[in-house]
Amino acid sequence: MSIKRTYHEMEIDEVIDLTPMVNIALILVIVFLCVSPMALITGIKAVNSGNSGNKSAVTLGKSSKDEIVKLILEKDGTVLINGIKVEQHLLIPYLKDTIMMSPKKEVMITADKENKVQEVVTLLDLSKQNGATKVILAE
Amino acid sequence: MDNVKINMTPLVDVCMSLLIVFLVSGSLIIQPALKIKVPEAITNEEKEETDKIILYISSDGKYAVDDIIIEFKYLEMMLNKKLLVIDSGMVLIKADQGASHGDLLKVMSIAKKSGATKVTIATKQKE
Repeated sequence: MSIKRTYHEMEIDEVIDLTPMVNIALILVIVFLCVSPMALITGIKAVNSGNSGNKSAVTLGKSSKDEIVKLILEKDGTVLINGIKVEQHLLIPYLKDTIMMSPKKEVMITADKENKVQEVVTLLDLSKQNGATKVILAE
Repeated sequence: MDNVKINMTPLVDVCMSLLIVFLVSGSLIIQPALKIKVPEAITNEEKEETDKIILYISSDGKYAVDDIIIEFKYLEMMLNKKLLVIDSGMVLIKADQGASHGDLLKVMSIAKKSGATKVTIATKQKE
């Protein structure tokens, strides 16, 4: 008895099994659906000083208030650090020194209401880059 | 040769599943109500809370909560309502680079009054 397979019989068996590919595709879909809500949000945590509209809303004691670095951003973009006007090119070294010397390393930013958000965020960012542990936005 | 067949059933299954997934997820995508270009910053804090309220402030002084444009006078009421159903108490403020600082402060103050425990200003990583 011969069990010789003919060329014709071999052809019949050639079926591509797509099941593993389908399994992988479905697993990938499920993985992406589960992972997408975990995408990270970047941002700067901001602390504002209080609820009322005036600047004295900061509820800090006098001694604590003296320990924090006060940054004032004026309408024309001028920056004052603890009441001293600082030129743009000296801002970073002066801010760094002031933060380093401050015991709490906290910065309070007071900006004019007409200043743009980008200007305030830039100051906030510079403070954080130069060692501020907490940045407060004064109202 | 005539009997060679590729089983198309699994492929069709995948296509149909993908179609269903995209149809379902498409409706869940929150389209921003206002066009915002967030400020750029080098430092950032990464937050993993998915449960949050997104508050938009445009450069021309318009406000939106998630996907709804809202008048300023209704903002507090809306935030109050939304914060009740959110455990994290997080409010993410997406203010335009050109929005005024005054608007940002007003919104931060309202968020705080409404019971937000975390207020974050969204920034884009500076390159």
